[in-house]
Amino acid sequence: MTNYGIKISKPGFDVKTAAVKDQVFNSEANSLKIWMTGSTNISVSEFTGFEGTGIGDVDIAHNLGYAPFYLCYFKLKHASKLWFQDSLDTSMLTGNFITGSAYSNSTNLHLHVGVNGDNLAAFTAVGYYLIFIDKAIV
Amino acid sequence: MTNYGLKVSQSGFDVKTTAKENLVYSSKYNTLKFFASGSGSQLVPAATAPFGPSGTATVTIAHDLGYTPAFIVFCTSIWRSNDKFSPYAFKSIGAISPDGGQYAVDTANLYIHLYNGDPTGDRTIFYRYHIYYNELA
Repeated sequence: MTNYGIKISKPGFDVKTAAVKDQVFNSEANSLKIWMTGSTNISVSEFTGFEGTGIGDVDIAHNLGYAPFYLCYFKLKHASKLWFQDSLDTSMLTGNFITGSAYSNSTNLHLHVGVNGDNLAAFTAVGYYLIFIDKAIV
Repeated sequence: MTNYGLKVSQSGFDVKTTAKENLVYSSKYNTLKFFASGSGSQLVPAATAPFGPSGTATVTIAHDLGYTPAFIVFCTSIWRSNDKFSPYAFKSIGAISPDGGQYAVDTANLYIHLYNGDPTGDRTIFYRYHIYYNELA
């Protein structure tokens, strides 16, 4: 294999001999590349105990043409914390259940907030996202 | 738009013409930049009753970035062996008796909220985290 390209090693490692895991950058190893980032309000309906209530959905168009890799975080009911996708907002742990989740397809990143609890009023969640150029599918 | 910067294509693709998804690197696009990473374990007390409230413990990791950064956490579950890590919480009985980890961040700390839904005894949950410089905004 030819030995050319760019390598940057971590402090304390010789870039000429360091293993890839001890390098900060290696042009032979792919890096996640951020395509777009942002945030969006998600209007969550009142949960009344019936199916189809206590939910909110938003599509973020990415125009990549394939389903991309992504990371999402959600501001739910807690005053300051942003929750990782699929984490429960633990400030609601008294029989109430609020979580944010997501999926990507070839056109959108879809953000979803679901509520299951006791007469929770409608509220506005916020979804934060990083969409990568890198494909979620092979 | 001016066309300058650094691009590296995957093997077999012409860096001058290939689509962005075939690049290994492009200085046009931001990347996740490590700020801190670490790992540890936390003893989590037993649930108070079968299907009752889970035992809980919170690990707080100070980052002091002054803004909410992107992060990823992996942890074990009391229902799996301790060599199996996942970024997704195992949610048992809704929010009454969750297991595994729920993760959040604010402008000062990363919070790893750990749960034990097993009433038969205290359990140790292992976690690993990555915090990035990238701001959630």
